[in-house]
Amino acid sequence: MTHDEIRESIPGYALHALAPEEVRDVEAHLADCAECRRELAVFEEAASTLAAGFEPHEPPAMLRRQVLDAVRPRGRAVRLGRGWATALAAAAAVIIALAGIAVSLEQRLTALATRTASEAQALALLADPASRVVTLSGSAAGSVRFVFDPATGRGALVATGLRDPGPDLVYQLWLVAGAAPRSAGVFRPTSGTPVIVAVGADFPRYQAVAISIEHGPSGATRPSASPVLVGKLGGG
Amino acid sequence: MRGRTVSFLNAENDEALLARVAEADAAAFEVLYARYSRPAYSVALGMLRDVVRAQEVTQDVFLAIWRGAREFDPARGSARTWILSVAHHKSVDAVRRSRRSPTVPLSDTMTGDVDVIEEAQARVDAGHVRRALEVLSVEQRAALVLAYYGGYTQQEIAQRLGVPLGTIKTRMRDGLLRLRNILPARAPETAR
Repeated sequence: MTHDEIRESIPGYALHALAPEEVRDVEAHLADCAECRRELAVFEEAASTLAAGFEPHEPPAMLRRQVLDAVRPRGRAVRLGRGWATALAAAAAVIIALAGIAVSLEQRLTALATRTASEAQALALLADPASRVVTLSGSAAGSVRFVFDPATGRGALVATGLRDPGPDLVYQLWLVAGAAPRSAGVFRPTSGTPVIVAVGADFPRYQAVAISIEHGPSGATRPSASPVLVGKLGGG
Repeated sequence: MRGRTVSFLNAENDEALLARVAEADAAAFEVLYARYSRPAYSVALGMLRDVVRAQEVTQDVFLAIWRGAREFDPARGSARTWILSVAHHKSVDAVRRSRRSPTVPLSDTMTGDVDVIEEAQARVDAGHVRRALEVLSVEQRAALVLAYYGGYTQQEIAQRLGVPLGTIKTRMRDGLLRLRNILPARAPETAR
């Protein structure tokens, strides 16, 4: 398509009113046309004022936790050591390993706090007689249990003996309600030690927990394959 | 220490926060979530009319912001425009997925012109946006409302209204340019 033809479709592009083929053409052209990029900025700003037209609604508080958890999935996987000393030593080793990676000190401290909190949560749940335990079963080998307290909304997945899913792949935990599974974090197995993934949710809303294998490091927004393990929660 | 960090970030503008998010700064992302979860969720819920799916889309929107923050270019518009554009884009995609087939012509899914335009226009809740749209010609308003609030493509709109595609493109262009002079870029309803 010519510059003039593309230019005519810039308002439609800003309104997300183009068919996928046209989107590709426009984006290819935008990459090397400064004039069209300037036009697009004008139309995108005008289009975005229409967003204020929708009736305002506050999203549920739980969504915040899901979104924030999803961007820090690795901080939530815990190696269960023999008591706190081992856990702290492991955490210290993780911090040293992270030192070479360009992440902020703030993130490292947050990850450590999240790890400690996840471990404490799992231990408290395992000790609490009100907690319920579900064993996940399916095609993957390993011992995987989900422990949760429906009253407080706290839960944790405890997994041992899972095989390495393969390079660049992760296990992803899902909470299933109807046809809309929610991600509850991703993890990779560690040989010899259990993995814990802390999960906070309104468990009576969900029928099951499931695990699928997805591309790492952050997993998928919805399951791309059938689950390898499933456990019924009975809610929903 | 963490409290001080967050209050420092609260004073940052959206563009500075997005630049931090591009460096995988989760604390900056948290502040952006606090500022934009309501407008983004309102777009998704307004388009999808389904609380569960609107939550899914909102989650997708913020994950797209987390992963795509590096693509944001402050020379090409405000962070606010970019974030609301991501929210609208994901919502439109979800609306199209939920229609039986993306290629079903608009004329087969609705019974009449008035119905389809009114249905899309019913999503406009805020008075100042309604009033701004009323300043446009009927034709410009129909094109913008069907595209932005209805989630229809310009081809579908042209087919439905029985006018050439080029005419719809012109109406969208002229309508948006007029809106730009009427509506403030930062509208009170979503300002937080």
